[in-house]
This record gives sequence, structure tokens and C-alpha cells, in this order.
Amino acid sequence: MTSGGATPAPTIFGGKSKIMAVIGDEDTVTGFLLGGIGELHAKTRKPNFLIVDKNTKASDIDDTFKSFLNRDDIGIILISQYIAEMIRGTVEGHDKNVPAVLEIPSKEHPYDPSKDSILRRARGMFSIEDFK
Amino acid sequence: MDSLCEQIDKLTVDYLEEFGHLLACKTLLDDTIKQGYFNISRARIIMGVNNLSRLQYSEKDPMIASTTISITSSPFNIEKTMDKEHSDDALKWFGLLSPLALKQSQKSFQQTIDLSLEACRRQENILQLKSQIEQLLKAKKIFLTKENFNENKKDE
Repeated sequence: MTSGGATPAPTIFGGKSKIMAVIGDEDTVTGFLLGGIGELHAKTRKPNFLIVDKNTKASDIDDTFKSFLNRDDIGIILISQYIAEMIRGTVEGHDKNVPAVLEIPSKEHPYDPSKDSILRRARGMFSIEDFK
Repeated sequence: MDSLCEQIDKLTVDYLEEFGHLLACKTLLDDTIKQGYFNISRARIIMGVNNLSRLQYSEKDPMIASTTISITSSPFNIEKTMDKEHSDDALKWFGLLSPLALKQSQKSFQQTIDLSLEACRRQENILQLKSQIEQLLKAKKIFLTKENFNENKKDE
């Protein structure tokens, strides 16, 4: 398989070759970048990551998340759950399966399944009526 | 009608199993990423607070992801592709001789990436199972309503 260059490498089963984006605190982004997912877009020079600190505004996070959703080269968005909480409306509003959105724990905020958008959508299926 | 109920039962069991797998996957992801954070902190102590931060991210080379994914919508699947040649590029931002803790952190995050892909697959699976079950439940409801209607007509 050829290494990353101008054209995307041929993929295993014909799916489109895409990258992963990450929105988190500095350690989260540093860690995932160490894992090799970081990229600056060849033309726009825009990064596929956003470091959120105490000065970052929710509107900026929202704008970045939406911009990741609109890019066609991003397949998954990893977002720390406490940050997803800040833009819960936008995260819940995304109902397509690509790009996939995954809420991850952060250093200071452990993962809480009751807040996860996807899990909330997956629950609440049955009512008493259905068991008759 | 019986086969409809059987189908609903089978899908419900699949759904609950998949939910269990997803929660287990996320717990493992939680543990693995914690290891990653722990090792980043350790490396930071060794290297100095200012030598392991966003300031070291390299902006001059074309930054290209060495870990990419292949994703299809239907059927939903995600696969990872790693460019081994460039996989240590990011590690090099922090110095050519990085402490073991930093390499261990890199490993933990690579494992976290794998777990994330698995979690995404299971999430999508669960949502699909849910929508299939809901459709069957709707069909069942319609069937029951028709049956009631017919029975009421018979009684008249």
C-alpha cells in the first residue's frame, strides 16, 4: 500500500479513506496526535483537531464541530463528553452515521453513559404496550 | 404473527447483547485512555512542563495523518489503516529521544483508537437493531389493531 501522498491509498473494502478528528483538552489532543491522527488540510491548512481550554467559547466549539461535520474527509469525530455537553444541541442534532461521533472520557471528567447522546437515542425503545 | 414475535424476540436479545458489549468496550476505553493520560503526565515530569505541550506541534511539515480510516455508510463498517513509515512523526515533535513513558502513552492512545472504532461499529449496530425492532413493533401493533377490529365486527 502506498504511503500518504496526493492521492488517497487504496482502501481495504472500497470504503472512502478518511481521517479522525478530535476535540478535547490539551492532553487528549496531544495523546491522539501521538497516535497518528493529526492532519493539516493540504489546501486550507485547517487542522482536524481543536484544543479546548478554560478560555474557549462554546460558540467556537460549536462552529468547529459543525465544520468537521461538513468536511467530507473526516470519518469520525472524537469529542470529550464534558465538551459534548457544552454543545449538546448540535451533537444531538447530528443523526447521520457518517461522520460517526464518539464521546470519550477526559482526564478530569470520567465517562457517564447517562449523558451520551448515542446511548440516549438507543434507549427508550419499549413501552408496556409492546409486551402484550 | 408468531414469526413476527419470534423475530422481535431475537432482535431484542441481539440488541441487549450488543448494548452490553458496547458498555464493556467503553469501560475498557476509559481504562486505556486513563493509562495514556497517566503516561503523558509522567513524560511531562521527565521532560519538563514546557516541553510536552501544544507548542511542540509541528506546523511546518505537511502534517498528514498516518492513521486513517475507511468508512462505509451501508453496510456500516470502519477499518483502520496505519502508515508505519510515518507513525512516529508526532512522537518526534517532542524530541528525538523520547522517554519510555511517552512511547507508552502513544501505545495506549493507539489502543484507544482501536477501541473507539469498535465502539463506533457497535453504536451503529445498536441504532440499526433499534430501528428494525421498532418497525416490527409497529407492524405487530397494526396486526393487533386489525385483529381487534375484525373480532369486534364478528361480535356485532
